[in-house]
Amino acid sequence: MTNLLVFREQLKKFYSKYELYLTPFFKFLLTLVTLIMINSSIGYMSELKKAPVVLVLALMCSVLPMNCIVLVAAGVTLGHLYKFSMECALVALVVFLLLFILYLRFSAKDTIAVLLTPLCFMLKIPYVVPIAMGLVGTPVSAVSVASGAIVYYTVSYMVGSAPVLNTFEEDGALEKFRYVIDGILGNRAMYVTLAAFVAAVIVVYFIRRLSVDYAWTIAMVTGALLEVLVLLFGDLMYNTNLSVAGLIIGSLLSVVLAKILEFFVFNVDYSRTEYVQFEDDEYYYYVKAIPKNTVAAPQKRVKTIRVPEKAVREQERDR
Amino acid sequence: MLNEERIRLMTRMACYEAVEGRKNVAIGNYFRGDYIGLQVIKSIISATIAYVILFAMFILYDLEVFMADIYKMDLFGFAKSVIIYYLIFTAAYALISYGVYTYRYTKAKKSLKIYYNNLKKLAYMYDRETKK
Repeated sequence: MTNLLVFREQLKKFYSKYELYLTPFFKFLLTLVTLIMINSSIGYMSELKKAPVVLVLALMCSVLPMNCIVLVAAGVTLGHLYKFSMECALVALVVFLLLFILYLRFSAKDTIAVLLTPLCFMLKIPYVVPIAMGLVGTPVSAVSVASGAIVYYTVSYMVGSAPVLNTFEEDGALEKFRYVIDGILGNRAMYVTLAAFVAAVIVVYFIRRLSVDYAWTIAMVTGALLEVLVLLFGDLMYNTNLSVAGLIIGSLLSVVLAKILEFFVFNVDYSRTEYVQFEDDEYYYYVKAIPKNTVAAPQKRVKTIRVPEKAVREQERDR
Repeated sequence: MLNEERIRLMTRMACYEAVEGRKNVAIGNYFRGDYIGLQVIKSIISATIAYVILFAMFILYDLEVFMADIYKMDLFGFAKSVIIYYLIFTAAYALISYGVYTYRYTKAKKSLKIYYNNLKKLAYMYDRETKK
């Protein structure tokens, strides 16, 4: 445990030292992973799949604000869907527009949850997102997580029903449109997942605020159990074709992941080095403010113990 | 001579101004009613756009039936129900945004109070230095 704590301190030190380069790097990585995932699951437009395009977009996002990653991901998704079918692109555009107009105006901070939820769905670990958002966010984060889930189910339904959509005639645009809308609105698995995620975010949030020992751990476990319960109940009621083994393994994994995140991310203040400039009547100040580290990582010191020559000589004489 | 205490205070204030403070100062420039009113008007515009999109989707979904029935249906009644739904939708959204922005304004004002106190402290330090 001590080793872990020391490692965390070193990580913190390292981050605050190189924050200027690390943040853009992480943004670059996040965009790259997102784009690769999108391209591999709905890669209909070959132009968007080219490595230079992906790299340029990721590089661009590394210096832009976090919300731009969401915009780029939405744009790329729309591009692929447009190539696949006009009607699907239209429906997806409406979903994105409603999301941006109605919800993302309010909570710019939570936007990343809208991106992370579909991403974790694709990585098969969706259950970690509500727990993590409950731990760091507010009850309102439930809306972000739900929006992310809606986006995922919308797009995955379109991709899943590609063989059926291809059988429609050329002039059957309205039928296609109706088929997509019916499919999305009638997706019971989506509603059950939404209910589970919203409940988990809210419950985790309220439990982790309780003033009891291990509130965070209790919150995580309760959140995961609640997700399992709601999803199983939904499966029984509406027959959502849920894989029970996947659900249980996924939930266990999400608790472990949440615990790791808690240790390394949520409970650590990665206070950043600040660069500020100001002036008074006499001077210009260019200040670099470095956060103080309260617990210093112990430095290894090698101490050589030399036996005095006199003692060695005496020992030899005794022999 | 550099006054270290003053520089520390100025640095802390500059840090605040750079991130959180910028937004709060922008909010603090408004009177309470003006800020919340403006945001609610923006919300109403957003809600209107969203409603128009939803309505267009609704019509498109049943376009054939709608076109066939357009001469038979009670257009006045249809328009009335569309407007009633619009009003309910917009009012609900405006109410939510009223709550959100009232909370934000109060929070920003509270945070600015500390900032203004620090400004006063800074002015006091300057006064003391010039008297010396």
